[in-house]
Amino acid sequence: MPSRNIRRFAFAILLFAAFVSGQEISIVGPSSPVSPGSFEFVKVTGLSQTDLDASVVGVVPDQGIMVMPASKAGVQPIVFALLVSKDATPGKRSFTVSRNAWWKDFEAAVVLAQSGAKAEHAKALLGLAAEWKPQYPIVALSVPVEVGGVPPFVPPVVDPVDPNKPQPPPSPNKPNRLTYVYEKDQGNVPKPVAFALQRLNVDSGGSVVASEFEEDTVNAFGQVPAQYKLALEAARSAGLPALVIQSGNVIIRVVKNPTTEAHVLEAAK
Amino acid sequence: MINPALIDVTLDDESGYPPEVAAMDTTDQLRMAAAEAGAIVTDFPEHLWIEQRYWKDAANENDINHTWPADYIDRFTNQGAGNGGYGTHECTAHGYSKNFECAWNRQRRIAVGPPVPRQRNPASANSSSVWISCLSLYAEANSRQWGGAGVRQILQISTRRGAIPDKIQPREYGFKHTLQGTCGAGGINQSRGSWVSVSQFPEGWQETAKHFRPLEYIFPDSYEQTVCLVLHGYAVTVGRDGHCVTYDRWMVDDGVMRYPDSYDVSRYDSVGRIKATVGGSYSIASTVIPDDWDKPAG
Repeated sequence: MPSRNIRRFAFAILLFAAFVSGQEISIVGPSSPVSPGSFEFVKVTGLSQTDLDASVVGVVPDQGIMVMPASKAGVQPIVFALLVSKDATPGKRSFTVSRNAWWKDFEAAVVLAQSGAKAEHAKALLGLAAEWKPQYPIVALSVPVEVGGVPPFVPPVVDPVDPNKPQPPPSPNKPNRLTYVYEKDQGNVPKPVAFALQRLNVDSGGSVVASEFEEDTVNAFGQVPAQYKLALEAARSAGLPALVIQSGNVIIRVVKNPTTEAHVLEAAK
Repeated sequence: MINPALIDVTLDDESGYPPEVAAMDTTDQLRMAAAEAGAIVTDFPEHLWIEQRYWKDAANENDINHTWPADYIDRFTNQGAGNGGYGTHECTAHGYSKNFECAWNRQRRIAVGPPVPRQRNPASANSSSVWISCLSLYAEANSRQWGGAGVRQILQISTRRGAIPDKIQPREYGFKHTLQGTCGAGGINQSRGSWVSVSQFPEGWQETAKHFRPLEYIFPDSYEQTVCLVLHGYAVTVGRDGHCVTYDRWMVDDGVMRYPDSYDVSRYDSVGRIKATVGGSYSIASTVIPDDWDKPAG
């Protein structure tokens, strides 16, 4: 459920939004009237259709996200976003939904008002795409952002590794699939990126599938290859080209327009 | 220093690409054949253009990053005599196989090359590399077995229905349908066997072959474009002087193009020869991609 993921990743203010080719975000005033209309809003416990409450429960220094608020099957795909505020601190925030905020064709602008923090403090947008259908996993996107000014992240204290002690199984969120998604008319895969993908394939001994995917490529049946469906959706939401990092069917993060070997290798950690 | 005897070689006994067939392999004919078979035909993309003064830089970058076409090709094939086989006329299919396999591995982004004659790269076993049967294409292009086939024919056949995997693969995929790779010598990385007609292909072979089809071609129309494609990791297949080969590396200091010839040997074409044979050349930009790289035929 949502709270678990929020705790895990950090502070966040839940906004109803969309990606706008990058991390541009527009903010409307908190008093905008709201008309639910026919739109089915994904419900979060304790919220009305016009107001959002989200708890800021922690912080991370360089990125955050992952909120899974959907509670009703069958709603249309929807996109949320997290607005990171420089002065965000743990605590509860309230937001008012603008009438203009409703999602339009997956390409609408951000539209929620933030009443708990000043707009100029909004630093960046993190996104979460939730395709909420019973047969599909929820897809989460996370875009690295700068959040200067937030309290530093304090890693948990752990015991030194004892070689004689059985080690826990690998983290389920360890990346095992990286896909550089691009549109061929916009350019080729940068060679350092290609090299990094190749290196990951070799160094992992086959446990990581690092590859490229041109968005129009299909399988033998003329469909998007199953192994690239999630990555393609995520990359398109973030804007091509993008590097999509997955752990199984969970998208861990999306890196926009990586160009260096370091971009890829860092993202794979 | 490249042995001059390996540059601009014309094989006296190679007749897999006779002049009357070559005459029909114009760029326009190839474009039409590819389009009719269902492929995307692309003009040379501007973003792939590299000014000649930067070719050396681009080559160095490929050396560093292992992004030559040769880095995505992990085998030589052998259409010649030996190993119980006999000299064949399958060159246009052998040339195609390297171009297709290069595109396949490039998309997967695994550097499994460069190919070494009569050796298997251990990396291939941990990759998604698939080796196709050259015979599965040539047998339809020329049902009489002898006399060769056009570049255009091979391109059209492979685009329309794909190629059957070779009986030898770099790893075990459990393909339902396979075919010997050649009637020639073959080798450690290519199976050999008797001639078969299409009617003798394993029943239901189309179900497997359709997973190994090209999707998009780029047709260079100048020597410079050919070099640029290779510098970007795209193999270029050319038919010329009775033989068909696939360029996989631009030797920038020598000014020649390398190709893994289908006789277990690397040879080279000079600029003069490349210029003379640009018409009728092609590069596979993309292929069908499987739903799972570990199960390339589903």
